[in-house]
Amino acid sequence: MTFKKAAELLAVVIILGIIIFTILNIVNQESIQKYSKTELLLDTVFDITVFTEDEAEGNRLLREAFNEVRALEKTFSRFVSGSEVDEINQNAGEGSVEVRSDMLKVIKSGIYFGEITEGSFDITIAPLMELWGFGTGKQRVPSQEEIEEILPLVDYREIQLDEQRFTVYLPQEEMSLDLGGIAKGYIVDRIVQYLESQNVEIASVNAGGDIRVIGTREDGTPWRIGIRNPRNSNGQDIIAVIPIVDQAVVTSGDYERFFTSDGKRYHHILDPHNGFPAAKVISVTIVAEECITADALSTAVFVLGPRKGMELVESLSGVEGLIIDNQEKLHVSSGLQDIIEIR
Amino acid sequence: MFSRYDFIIWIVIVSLAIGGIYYHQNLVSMGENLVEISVNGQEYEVIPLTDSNGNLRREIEGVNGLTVVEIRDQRVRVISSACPDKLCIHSGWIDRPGQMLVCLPNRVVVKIVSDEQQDIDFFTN
Amino acid sequence: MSGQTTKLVYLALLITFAVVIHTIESFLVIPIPVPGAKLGLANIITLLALMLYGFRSSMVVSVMRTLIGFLIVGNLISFSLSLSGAVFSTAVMGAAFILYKKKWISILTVSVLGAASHNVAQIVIASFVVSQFHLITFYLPILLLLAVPTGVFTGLSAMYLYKVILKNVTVSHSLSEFRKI
Repeated sequence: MTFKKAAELLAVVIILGIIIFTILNIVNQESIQKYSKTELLLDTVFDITVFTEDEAEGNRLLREAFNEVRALEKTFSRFVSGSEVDEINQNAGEGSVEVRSDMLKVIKSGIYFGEITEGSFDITIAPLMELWGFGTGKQRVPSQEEIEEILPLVDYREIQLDEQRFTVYLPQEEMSLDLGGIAKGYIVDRIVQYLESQNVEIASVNAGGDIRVIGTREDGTPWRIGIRNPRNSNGQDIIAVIPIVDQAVVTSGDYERFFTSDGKRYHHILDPHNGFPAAKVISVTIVAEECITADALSTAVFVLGPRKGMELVESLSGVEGLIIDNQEKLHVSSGLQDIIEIR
Repeated sequence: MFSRYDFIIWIVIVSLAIGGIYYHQNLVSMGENLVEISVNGQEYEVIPLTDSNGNLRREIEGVNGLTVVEIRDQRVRVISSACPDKLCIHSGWIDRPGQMLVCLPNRVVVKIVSDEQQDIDFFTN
Repeated sequence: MSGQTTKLVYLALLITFAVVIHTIESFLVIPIPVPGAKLGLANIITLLALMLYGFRSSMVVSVMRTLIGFLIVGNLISFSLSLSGAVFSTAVMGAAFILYKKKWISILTVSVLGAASHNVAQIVIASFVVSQFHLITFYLPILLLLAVPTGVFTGLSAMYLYKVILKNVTVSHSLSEFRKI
C-alpha cells in the first residue's frame, strides 16, 4: 500500500468519523428530557423542573429535591408546631433555643436585610401580621392604639443570635418570628444548590412565584419571566417580560393577599414603621442572583416606595428591579432597561 | 464507478431517513396542550385541551370535598370547590401552557402543560 | 497449500478479525437506548468474505463472529441483536452482490444496503426485546441516516482490504500486509 493511498484512507476515516460524531451529538441533544413535578408545599405550589438525559436520574433528582423541601418546611414553617420557628416563638422572653445551621443562616440574612433596608423588611413582624389577621384567616382592621401597642415588639435588632452556640433568643415574650418573607427564597436557593451539586445544567424551581433558574432554557436562550399586571383581575395578563439566566425573580404585589373592610382594601405587605399596609407601590419585582435576596428585597422595596426603593436596588450589585407605583407608572432599574420587554 | 441505480438507492435511503426524522419531529411539536389535574401531588387525570369543544366537566375528589372543573372552548376554570377562600374560582379562566388553577385547601392543582417551548416560562405571583 | 486449505485459513483469519471488530464495537456508543446494539462495523469482514469467497462463506463468517462474540461478551440481548443484524444484513448484501456482479450497482451501495438492513433488523428486534414499539418510529430514521456513513466506511475499508489481499497471493506475504494495516 502506497503512502498516498494510506493518506486517502486516513482522510476518509476522519471525514466519516466527523459525520458519525455529529449524528451522535444531535441524537444526544435530543435525548435531553424535561422532568417536572408539582407539589403543594409551604402553603403554595412548589414546582421543580430538571432537564436530564436519563429518566431514572430525572425522577431521582425530583424526589430528592422534594424530600429536601419537605425537611426544610418542617424547620421554617411558623404554623407547624414543633418546628424550630415555633420553638423560638414559644420560648420568647424565656430562654434561648438551639437551632440548626439552616435556621441560623436565615435569621442572620433576615437581620442583614433589616439593616440594609432600615427596618423596612423585618422578620419579627409576626405580631403585627397576627393583629391584622393575615395568616390566621380572621382579618380585620385594628385600631391605632392596638397597632401602637404592638409596634415596639417589631424590631429585628432585638433578636439575640449566638453564632458560636447556634442559639436564638427573642427577649420579649410577645415577640415572634415570621420567616415567611425569606424562608421560601432560602429553600429555593437550597434546592438550586442541591441540583447544582448533582451537575444539573438546566433546571428551574418555582415556589409560587419565587423563581430561580439554573442555566438557560434548553435552546440556549434566557428563561422568560412574565410579570403579572397588578391591576388586571383576570389573572394571567402580563405587563412585562424579564429574561433571566442563572438568576432568581420574586414579585411582591398588593393583590396577592388582601381583604376589604368598609369599602377599603387592605393588603398583607405591612410597613413595620407605622403598622399599616404600604401604599406607595402596587407591585415590586426583584431580580437577584439568590432567591433569598429577591424575596426579602421585593418586600422591603414595596415598603420603601418607588424612590427610596429604586435607590436601594441601584446601590446593590447584582440586584435589579421593576417597581410599579400606585399611579401604575413603571420604574425600571438601570441594568434591566435594555433587556426588559414592556407589554 | 457509480450507476444510476446506485444514486436511486442512496437517495431512497437518505430521503426515507430524513423524511422519517422530519415526520417524527412534526409529530412531537404538534403536541397539543394538556390539562393536568392533580390532587395532593398525585396525578389525577390528564385531558387534552382540545377535547373540550363539547363543554367538559370533571368532578374531582379533593381532600375536603369536590372541586368541579369546567373545560370549554380551549379554556379551563374551576366552577365550584370545597374550600373556604374560593381563590381558585376567582382566578377565572386559564388557557395558556404554564398557567394553573390552585385550590390549596382542597389540594387540587389544575395545570395546562405543553411539550412545546413557550414564550413565557413562568408567571410571577 | 491447496486452494481449499488457503480458503479455510483465510476464513478463520477473517472470523478472528470480525470477532475483534465486533468486540471493540461493543464499546462504541450507538444512539439506541437498548444495551448491546451495534454500529455494524464488523460488516467490513462480512463484505470482504463475500467478495473473496461468496455468499455461503460470508454467512459462515458473520454467524461465527456473533457466536464467538457472544462467548466473549456474554450478553443475551446483545447476542440476539447481533445475530439478527448480522444474518439479515449478510442476506441483503448477498442479494445486492448479485447486482454488483452484473455491474448495476457499486460495492459501496452493497455496503450501505448492508448497514441499513443491519440497523433495521437491530431496531426491530430491540423493540421486541424491550417491547416498546414507539422506538421503531423514532430511531429507525436516525439509524437509517447513520447507515450511510457506516456503510460508506465499511465499504471503503472492505475495498482497500480486498485490493491488498489480491495483490499478495502468498499467505505469509499477505499476513505481513495485514499487520501494516
